[in-house]
Amino acid sequence: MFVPIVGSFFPFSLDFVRAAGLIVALAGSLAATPFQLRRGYAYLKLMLPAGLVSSVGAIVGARVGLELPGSLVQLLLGLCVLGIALLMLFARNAEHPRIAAPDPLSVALGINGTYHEASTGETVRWQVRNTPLALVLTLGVGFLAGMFGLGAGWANVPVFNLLMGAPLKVAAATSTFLISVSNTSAVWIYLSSGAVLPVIVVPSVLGMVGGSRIGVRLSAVVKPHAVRFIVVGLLILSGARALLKGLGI
Amino acid sequence: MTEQRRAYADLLDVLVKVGLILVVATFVPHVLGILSPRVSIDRSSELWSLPLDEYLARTEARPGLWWVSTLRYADYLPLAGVAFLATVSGICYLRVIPVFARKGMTAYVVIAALQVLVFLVAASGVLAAGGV
Repeated sequence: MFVPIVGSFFPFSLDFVRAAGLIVALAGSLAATPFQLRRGYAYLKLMLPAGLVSSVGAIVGARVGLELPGSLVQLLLGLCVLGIALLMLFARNAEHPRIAAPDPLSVALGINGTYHEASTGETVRWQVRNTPLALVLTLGVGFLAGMFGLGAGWANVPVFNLLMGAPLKVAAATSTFLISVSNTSAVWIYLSSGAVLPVIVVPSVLGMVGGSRIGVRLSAVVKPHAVRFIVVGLLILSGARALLKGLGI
Repeated sequence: MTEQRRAYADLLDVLVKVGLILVVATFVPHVLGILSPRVSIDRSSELWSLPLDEYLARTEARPGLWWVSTLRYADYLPLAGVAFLATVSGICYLRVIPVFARKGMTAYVVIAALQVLVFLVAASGVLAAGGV
């Protein structure tokens, strides 16, 4: 949400905002990943192939995004953000998808696992399907993330969960892990292109770290559908603003 | 927990803390005015609404690895912290590649090695955009 909101309501060029957005998302995902790995929700085997593909997409997306006119990027960002809002409104994640049979690629790569579900005390075994298609989609998601400076959880989680059939906790945690890799690649492009302004980046990273600590405490008392309502509302508002800005209105 | 997952998590945990401290610590000289900036904050605020190529032209900045030569300036020094954060994943990959190799997980050795190569290409500056 950083890029849509800051890009729409602050005077900074979208080039600098996108770089800052990638770094904020990178810092957040790097900080969260050790915990998710140790809890057994994030998986190297699930992330590594997708991370490689997504990194390439992110580099291409960053490069393309920095060549396009700002107004066009703003317009496309608005459309993308509104699409994300719709996805969040209508997509229904599955906590424990049922997999009839894993695909041959996932079997060859050994993409499967078990984790302890604390809420039920059960050991959950999982495997995945549609790995080749998921990798293709991950390439596209990486492209969008690099181009618009977004964290890609809004797309990676449905890919891992709904398409591949990974349990929701595994999908969400591995998505965070994936962002730490794909955003790394895109950040280097923005850094070497001169698009990283520390005066924007550092306060934003500090704000993210502080905000996430507050958010963790609030998440214990705020209802999930209220959070969803707020997030979708902010996305629609900022997406519409970006669209109008891109149209010169 | 597998050996590779523990190795990755343990190293990442340390490196990200170092990286976040570096990002903040390298910004302090700018905030306190201990070092001189290359582009004053007043000048930067006049220009930060411009597209990247115009900003670079007006600040006489260059794409590629040129930023490394500017780390002595207060407004560029935090890029060292950002670059460190962007290196963390690559270091963790290098940590787990030997573990994959020892376990005979050849496919993951190849995937991880390719990923490190992608990081290196991205960091080299050859794919940079913009410039005067």
